[in-house]
Amino acid sequence: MDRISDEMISAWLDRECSSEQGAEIEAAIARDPSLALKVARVARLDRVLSPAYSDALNAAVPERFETLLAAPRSQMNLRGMWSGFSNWISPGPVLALGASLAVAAAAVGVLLSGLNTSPGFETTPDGSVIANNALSARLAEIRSGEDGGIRVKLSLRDEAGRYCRQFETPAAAGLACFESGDWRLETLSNGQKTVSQGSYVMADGGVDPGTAAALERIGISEVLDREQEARAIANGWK
Amino acid sequence: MSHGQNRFRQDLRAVIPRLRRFGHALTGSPDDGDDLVQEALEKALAREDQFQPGTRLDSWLYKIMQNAWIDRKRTDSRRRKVMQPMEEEVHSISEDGRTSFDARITLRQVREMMTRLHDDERAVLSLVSIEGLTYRQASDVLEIPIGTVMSRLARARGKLVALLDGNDLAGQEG
Repeated sequence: MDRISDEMISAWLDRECSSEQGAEIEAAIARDPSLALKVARVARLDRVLSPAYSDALNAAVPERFETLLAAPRSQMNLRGMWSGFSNWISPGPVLALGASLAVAAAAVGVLLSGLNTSPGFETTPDGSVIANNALSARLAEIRSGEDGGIRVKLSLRDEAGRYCRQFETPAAAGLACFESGDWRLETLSNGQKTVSQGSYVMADGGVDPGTAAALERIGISEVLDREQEARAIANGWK
Repeated sequence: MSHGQNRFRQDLRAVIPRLRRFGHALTGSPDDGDDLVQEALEKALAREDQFQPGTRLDSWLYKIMQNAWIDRKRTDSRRRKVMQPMEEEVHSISEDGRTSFDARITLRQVREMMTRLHDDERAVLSLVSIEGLTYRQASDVLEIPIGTVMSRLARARGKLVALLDGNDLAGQEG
């Protein structure tokens, strides 16, 4: 048999080889009956592969997909949406400060000192952790998906009616809600820092547990679509 | 819902049949395949602003499905149910000789033999031989070099031909 590799046969059948290679293979097939048989068998395989899975092409689109595509974005399955961001968050241990703002206040300085970008928070006299002026401006202006030092992944309204934004930096992820003119930190998680307040591994590769817990705690009444988000930005989140 | 969002959803709907076909081929199960389609649609809707108009929507969704499948396999024992030995079926196909296997083999047997492939081989074979992607497109979906596409494809085809011939895969795993 000529020295025609299996890769060359595949590429020839898929029309992925050069004309010179094609000519070489065709000449080899003409010379070598065993090679011709081998090529024919691979070609036959390809002919039965596609029909083996063709049922889906002729079937009606299942109702569950129709329902999903017809649903307003605000009514979409949030768990599914969150898991869609798995590529944006490195799985692994995270520091989840969760519901305790007091704990967040104590640790936030340590966390933020390690961020590659410069978002920052400050602690108010009553112990709340709020975004400083620079980070507040970013949270107020950036649209979801845009990269502006931080990246906002989701904008929503919680059950108290507050606007909230789930954000991410190269080193951390968090959730802040707009209240009384400030962006208040609900949770902050760091993918690289040593775990000290609780160790978690993302359950589904999606939203980190700290953010998930915070979202569950505040309750989501509505996820904003792009138009709603644009209006909220234009209106100063009021 | 804006005109752009409506258009995006219409485009998603149009590719669902091919997504279902790919899901079936990738997972070996129509139900598991549809679960992947569901997950891909949810993610696509959530990430709509990340899709670049002018690029292939189906390839973007194939990639989402492939990544979701990899994630599921890491934690889902269902995979073991798919990968069942098929020695009896293989030998029954070979009883009448080697020259006319496609006349006797059933589509069900083809699907079962596909489950004997390694996951990465099945993925590339599904994309190229069933979905009709070019090597470059398959390379982009799977995030592997074209040379790897070629080698996996040739290996997958070789294994399936061997199975169709009634040869065991022992010694060909790699």
